[in-house]
Amino acid sequence: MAERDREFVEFVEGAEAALRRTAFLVSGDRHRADDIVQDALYKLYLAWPKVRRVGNPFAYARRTVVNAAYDGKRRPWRREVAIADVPDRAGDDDFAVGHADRDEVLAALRSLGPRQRACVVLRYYEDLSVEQTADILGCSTGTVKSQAARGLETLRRAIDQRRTSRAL
Amino acid sequence: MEDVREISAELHRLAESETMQPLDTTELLARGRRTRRHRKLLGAGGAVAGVAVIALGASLLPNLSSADNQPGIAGNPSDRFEAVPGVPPGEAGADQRITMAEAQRRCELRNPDEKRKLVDTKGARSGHLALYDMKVGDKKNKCIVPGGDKPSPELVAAANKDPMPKSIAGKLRNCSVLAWVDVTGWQVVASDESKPLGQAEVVVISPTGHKVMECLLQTNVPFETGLQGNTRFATLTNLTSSDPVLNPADKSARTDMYVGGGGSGPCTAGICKGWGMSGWGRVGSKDAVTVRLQIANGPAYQVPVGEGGWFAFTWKNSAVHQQKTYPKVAAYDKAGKIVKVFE
Repeated sequence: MAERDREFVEFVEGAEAALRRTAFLVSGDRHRADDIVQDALYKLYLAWPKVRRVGNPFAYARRTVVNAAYDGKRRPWRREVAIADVPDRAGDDDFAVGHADRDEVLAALRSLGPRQRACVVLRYYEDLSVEQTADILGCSTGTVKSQAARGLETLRRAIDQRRTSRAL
Repeated sequence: MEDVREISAELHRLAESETMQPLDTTELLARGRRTRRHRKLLGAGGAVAGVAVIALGASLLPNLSSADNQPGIAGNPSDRFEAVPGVPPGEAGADQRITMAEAQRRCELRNPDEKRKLVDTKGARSGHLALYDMKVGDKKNKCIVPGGDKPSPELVAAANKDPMPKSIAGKLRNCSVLAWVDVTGWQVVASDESKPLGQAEVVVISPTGHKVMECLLQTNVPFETGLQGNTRFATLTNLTSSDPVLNPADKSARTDMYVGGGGSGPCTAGICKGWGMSGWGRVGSKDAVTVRLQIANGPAYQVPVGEGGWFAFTWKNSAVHQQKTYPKVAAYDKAGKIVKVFE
């Protein structure tokens, strides 16, 4: 394996789990998150010599992942199109999906707008500053602050609701 | 502040609530390398223009094959394949899970004279074999459920004229004709051919790396001439128990896959004087370097395990063995230690 490839594989092995988790939180879907990360890593591979020279390939990969997860749904030509009926056969569905659907916090996260969700994830999961978040999402710091605050409030309500329902 | 801490903890809980299998870096690298190769080729702009002029000239000369011996695949995809109504072209049209009615519609496009219904298997997949409901004495016919690339009559004629091409490009042409999926640009990850057996196995991966196709070309089908064979696809990002996955519960990116089939003969009084077998699959273990097959104490046949763990074999030999003996197929590491027993 070439030196370039070896370095890239080492990077992927170290970073992919974190990238997939971030992609999941921003996109709200594990399968889609995996696709997004695969695509981001593929793009990273093509740009690898340049990215490595500049330094911090993780930041590059994270930016690609967040932007893909954040704006993918806005572009109609990227949507999957149902092309035929699925046969009457039980699929091998992810057993965790049902559990996730019942998770109020995940449901609340999914209910946020794409930009709001991305702000929340970058600020409170990735622990990035307002400026770093604004830089990744290409918006103003004011937008990040307001979107993150609203998102935080929605999630706060979901957590309170869960507490209440558990107490009953 | 307390809110922020709590939300942060909740987000970490959500993100880490499921264990993840590692991504398949081999497929990722393969995809990246392919694109780099294409870019390098495109980068040679002037050279490409020159080659195009030469190619145009060459195409006007009769019986002049290209340097890499790619019979019948010159020209744009649009010249060689046409759209199939209601089916997306290329990779998207391969391994679609469709209803029997849709499979019937597509098979009518392929075999317009066939009036029989397909055997109802509660759903079909494009690029997979579907059988017609036959009665005893009926003429045999089959249908590989078409994808979205209908081959041109010229391409079909070329495939029928040369059902077992020497070159990989020629084999991919024939596989495309069989499946009605243009796989001429897919990456070959394993292949093998046996002239004595009259079979060739090719395993190819789609440009996105999400789909795999196994294509078996045959010249050993009794009473049949022209293009013969079978194809099968699997969507690697959505493998189910209907795929040749050895352990459907294993959702790792490189789960073991295997299909093998063959037979012995001639056999007299329980003793057979020969056997043949074809198969393909993927070894999950990254230590695997070869796959070997053998029957009883006869000679062994070995094929390499390629990139991504893929392998393909097809072999015929005259080992004498008891009729009740079955072949052994296993993957081995560099030291010759078995890492996976397939059968």
